[in-house]
Amino acid sequence: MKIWSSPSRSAIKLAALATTASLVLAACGGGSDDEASGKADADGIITVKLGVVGPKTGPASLYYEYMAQDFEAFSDDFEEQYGVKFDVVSEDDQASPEETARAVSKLINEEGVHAILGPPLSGNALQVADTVQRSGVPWLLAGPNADEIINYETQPNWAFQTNFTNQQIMSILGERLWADDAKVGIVFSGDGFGQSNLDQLKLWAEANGHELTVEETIQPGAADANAIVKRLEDAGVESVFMGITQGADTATVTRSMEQAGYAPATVMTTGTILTNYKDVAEPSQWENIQIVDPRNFLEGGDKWVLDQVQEATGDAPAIPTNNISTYAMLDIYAQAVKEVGDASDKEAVRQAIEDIKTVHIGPDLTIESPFSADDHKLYTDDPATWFTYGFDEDFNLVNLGTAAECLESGC
Amino acid sequence: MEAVVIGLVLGGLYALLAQSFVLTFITTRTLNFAVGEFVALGAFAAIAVSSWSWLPTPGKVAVGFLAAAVVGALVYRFLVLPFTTQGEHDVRWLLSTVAVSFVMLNLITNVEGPSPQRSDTARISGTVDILGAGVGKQQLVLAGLAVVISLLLIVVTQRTSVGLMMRAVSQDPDTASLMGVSPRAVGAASYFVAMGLAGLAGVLYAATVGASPVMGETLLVASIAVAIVGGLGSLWGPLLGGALYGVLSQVASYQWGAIWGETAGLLLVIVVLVAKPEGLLGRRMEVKL
Repeated sequence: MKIWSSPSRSAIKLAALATTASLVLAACGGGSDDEASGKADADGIITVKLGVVGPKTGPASLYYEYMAQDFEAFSDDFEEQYGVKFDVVSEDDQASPEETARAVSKLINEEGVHAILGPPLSGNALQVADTVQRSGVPWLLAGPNADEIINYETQPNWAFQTNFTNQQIMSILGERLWADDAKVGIVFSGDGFGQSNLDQLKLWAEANGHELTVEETIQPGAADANAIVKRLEDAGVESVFMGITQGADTATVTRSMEQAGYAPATVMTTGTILTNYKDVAEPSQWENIQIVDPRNFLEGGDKWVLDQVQEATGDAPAIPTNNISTYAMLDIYAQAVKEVGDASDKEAVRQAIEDIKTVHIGPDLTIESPFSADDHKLYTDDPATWFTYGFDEDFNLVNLGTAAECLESGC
Repeated sequence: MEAVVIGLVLGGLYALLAQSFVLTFITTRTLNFAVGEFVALGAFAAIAVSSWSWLPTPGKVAVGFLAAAVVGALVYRFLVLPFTTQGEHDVRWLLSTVAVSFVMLNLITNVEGPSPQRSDTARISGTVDILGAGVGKQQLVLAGLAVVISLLLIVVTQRTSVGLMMRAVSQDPDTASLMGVSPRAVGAASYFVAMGLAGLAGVLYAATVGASPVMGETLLVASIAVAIVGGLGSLWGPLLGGALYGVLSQVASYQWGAIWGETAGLLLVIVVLVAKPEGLLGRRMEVKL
């Protein structure tokens, strides 16, 4: 079952998308500061000055594009539904920690934003975590998965995550990977996301009396992964987890696996494979790969979000997992602002987020009371609520059952 | 043995790009630090004509070569040559080629987007077994091409009048100029061929990893390292440098993990620079004062 079409490859369409996204952001972000007072205007519309940080330029710009897509697709919906309009002030972090620090500082100190969405990459978010926490600005983390970004010892905490976290995915995957006492290896990207994956997998293994047999890192854009695969094979690894940021790098690993004739019994990865993988891999390389995710990409509200993005932008969701988590985050924030009635009362808005009753993802998916003072994560690590997916020949997702079902009966 | 075979094959890819550095250095004493973007340019040019069913695959590959070659010659004429006018110590071309790299990267990204695009031009699927190592046929073609092109360049420079002009310009551009040889024309021709080779490598490499604006960047460090190890003044150098760098980095990766692979290769560069700064096959230039 195909859920959304492949992205357009023509230069014209890409240019059109870039232009459209820019115009949308310009339209949202170009409003005067007077309009974005954070209070209701005569029509009852509250215009929020929302700082958005992400890699607008450079090789990681997909991690900005998904936010632009969501604003393009859903801004009017949120305004209509909650009476909250987003006046976006965007900053380019170029996917670098230094630029992220500069961008966040500018948004807080010069722009005086009411909240910050991003940065989407874990390593960069970690870099500015203390700064944002100290500033007392609601921090909307729809992209990064690293648990380390939120330090719950500091209260009240200003950060909220609507993507799953690496600790959660390891809880779901751990038993699956170590089933039948298999030897487990991890290939992780040499960035904050990959490192957090490694740390959390090791923590889970340690807590559950297991040992990680092989740890291998792959640098972004690596020409080959032959040595990595050989080391996995020589160590007798039967279960491989790939915690890799870019799907293209995942393809490098699976290509080398095929080349070496190495076929471990279990190969698991994350939703990052949905980005940049298909176009540089072959069906024979993905036939044994499975992913787990708390979202149902094939039906219900999660699929609705992806379909809406496709319809509104004319292109496939840039990073499907993050398109959904951004929608959820904007829904949460818009509700909180509506309830408080004044976005500039950040303390009250933060509390309203923490106390939120129902998160809406599309018209027919809700998540009830996800947050508490020491839990700012939208999802839980209950295997019954996570889905396991495989892929068909055309790289369309196939729902293999819940993570709990796959643990019991195998998938 | 597996690491050695894979290392030699991978070294071929680096050698092909290193040849781009060597060619321009021999004739113009400049290096184009935008080589990585020329790799991407060649790959995307081939993709742009991939739907032309009337054009056979070699023609599409040639388009990739020519697109990079023509832009390369123009870059030399307008962005390298003007910054080399003040003698041997004029190294403003360093900055201008780095600027070209940034400009091209952003242009390609804006036009094509950041995501890798599938390229089926000259794609050869499957693997072959060489001494127990599974080697991708595409990688093997790249390595073979590096050897063939290197030999071809050596024959051209040593046995033809074009090569004679190149060697003359290389040794003494002023005297060559007095003899009716245009160092500018030779330089432009060198950039044409060198960047064309980068484009060619891009077309073939993209068939494996897809074409993306940054596809060449990741090869750049290794290619420069290979050129330095072999010797920037020798057309044989990239072959030897590629073999050494490829094998050493692969053996280190196999033994100690991937993170040590590139490190080992760069340590080799440092050792060579200390022991033989002109590279293993380079010739020491002595200047009479």
